Parts: sequence; structure tokens; C-alpha cells
Amino acid sequence: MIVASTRLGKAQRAMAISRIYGETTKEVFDKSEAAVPENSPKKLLIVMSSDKGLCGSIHSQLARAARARLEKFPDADVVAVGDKTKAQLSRTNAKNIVLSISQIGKEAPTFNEAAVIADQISQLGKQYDDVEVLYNKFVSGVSFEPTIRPAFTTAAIEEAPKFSTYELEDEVVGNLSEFSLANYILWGLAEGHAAEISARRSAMDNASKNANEMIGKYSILYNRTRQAVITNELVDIITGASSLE
Amino acid sequence: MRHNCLTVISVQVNIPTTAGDIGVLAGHVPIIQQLRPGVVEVIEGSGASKQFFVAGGFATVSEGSSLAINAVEAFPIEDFSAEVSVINIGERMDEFGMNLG
Repeated sequence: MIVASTRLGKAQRAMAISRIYGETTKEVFDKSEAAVPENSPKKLLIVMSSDKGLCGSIHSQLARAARARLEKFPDADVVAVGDKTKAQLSRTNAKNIVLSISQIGKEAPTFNEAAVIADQISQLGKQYDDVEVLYNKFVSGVSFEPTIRPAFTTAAIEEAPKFSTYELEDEVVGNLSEFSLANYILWGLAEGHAAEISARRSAMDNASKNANEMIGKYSILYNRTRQAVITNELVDIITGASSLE
Repeated sequence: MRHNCLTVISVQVNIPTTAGDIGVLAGHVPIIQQLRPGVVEVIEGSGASKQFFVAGGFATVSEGSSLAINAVEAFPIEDFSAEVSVINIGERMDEFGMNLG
């Protein structure tokens, strides 16, 4: 339990910082009123989870949200980060998965990991009109909610109505788009990680509570049975002894 | 790698960008600039300045004179040791078969 608490603290600190990175990135898009192009035939959905279970419904809720999204956009490609969602999504949407990444989320996520994921995605060499990052948003110690955050592509950034208020060189836009995707991936990873650790802690808490309850019940049963056997033996002995008198 | 955030109220910030070095003062027009490896200098109202080495990233100035520098890696300049840096540069140069002469 102590280990889980320190890990949660670490995860929450990493999340708080990744939020600042993410929100700084988001500010530019908010101010330039960037929007997802309405006509976006090729969508990419990046689902952020991890490899490990024993943390309640974290992975299944995320997979459910991903499935709901895929029902709306059946042709969307999926990048599954973490074995858990990969396993759940490959049951229903195996054809959508273009890339899966595992061995993530053991420790609090770093920018390096996020950059590697973003790099692998760009190495797919596919052009997407819209990229969405799906992750578990850490709401509080006991709750989380699957959230979709649009990461804007180069085209979407350039078409944003107020983007022209910013002065910049044209060739920077592509880099900005990639850099912000990496930032969003880090944000998603960090929030998901914190939500997972916290869910795992309460799952373990509940497991301990249930086990303690069972121990209590069985102790009572054991003591009663033991007492019953002793009473029986005593009755036998006393009956035997009194018959000899 | 460390993740750190620093928020300061400053008078001027000098940033190395791919388009050249720029100095940002209050009321600067909104810009987005890609950082190149170099030193970011933050000058506070008291005249004190802080210097950081940044490896790369983005700097954005938004309306309302807010400047956000989002760097992949950034370290305070005082954490660098001149001698060690020279030795490391020499080693890297050797690795790539270059020489300073």
C-alpha cells in the first residue's frame, strides 16, 4: 500500500507537469480557433492505455469509448498504446489497428517515450486529415473519464481562422504539428498513468477489504466448528463415564 | 529526464530561433517560432537575468504579452561546467572523425 501511494504521488506530479505542457500547446490552437476539418475522410485514433491489468475498469472503459468512436468512423485507423486495449480492440476492430506499442506505462511517462510514439506514427507514412488522442482523464482519486482530444494536423492548423494573427515561417507549421502531437501524447500518457495507478490502488484496497471480510467469516466458522466438535467429544466422554458408574 | 515548469514575470526574453535570435518585449505581436539549440535569456524587472540552455522546441507569443517556451530539454546555464563541456565536445568530435584544428 505504501508503495502504491508513493507511485500515485509520482504519477500525479508527472501529470500536473504534462498538463502545463499540454495546455501551453493547446493555447495556440484555442486562440487561433483551430477546428477539425468537417470533411476528414482519414482519421487516426491513438488509444492510450498500458500493459498491466488489476486496475478495475480503466482499460475496458477506454476500449468501449474507442469502439463507440469507431462505430461513428468505421474507416479510422487505430494506434493502440499498451497491450490491454490492443487485446480488447483486436477482438472487435482488428482491421483498424495499424500500429501497437507496448512496454509503456511502467513508470511515470517521459517526453522521450511520447516522442518515440509520435515518431513511430509519423513513420507509418500515412496522411491523416484528423488525429485524435483518446485517454483516461484523471478527474479525481476515485474517478476518471475517457476523453478525446483532437491533435491538429498541419492542414488544420493552417486553416484555423485566427492563425494568421501569429507571425511565423511556413515550414515551421509541420514541425509545430508534430511537436504538439508529441505533447498531447505525453499529456494522454501521463493522465492515463495517474488514473490507472489510482484505479489500481482502489482495486487493491477493495481486494484487501474483501479478503479481510472473508478471513473474518471463516475464523468465526472455524471457531464454531471447533467448539461443536469439543462439545460432542465432551458429551461422548461424559456419557461413557456415567454409564460405567 | 526532468520535467520542470517555470513561470516568471519578465521584462525581456531573448530566444534563439531557427529564424535568428529574437528579443521579446511586452506587447510583442503574436508569433510562433521554432527553437534552435542555444541559450534562452530571461531578464526580470529587477535587472537580474536567468539563462537556460535549450535543445529545441517551440516558443509562442500570444495576445496579452504572454510568452510560452516549450522545450524538449532545458538546463540552467550554471549547471554546465566549461571544462567538462570542452572535454565532451572533443570526445564527440573524435567520435565523428572531426578535429578542431
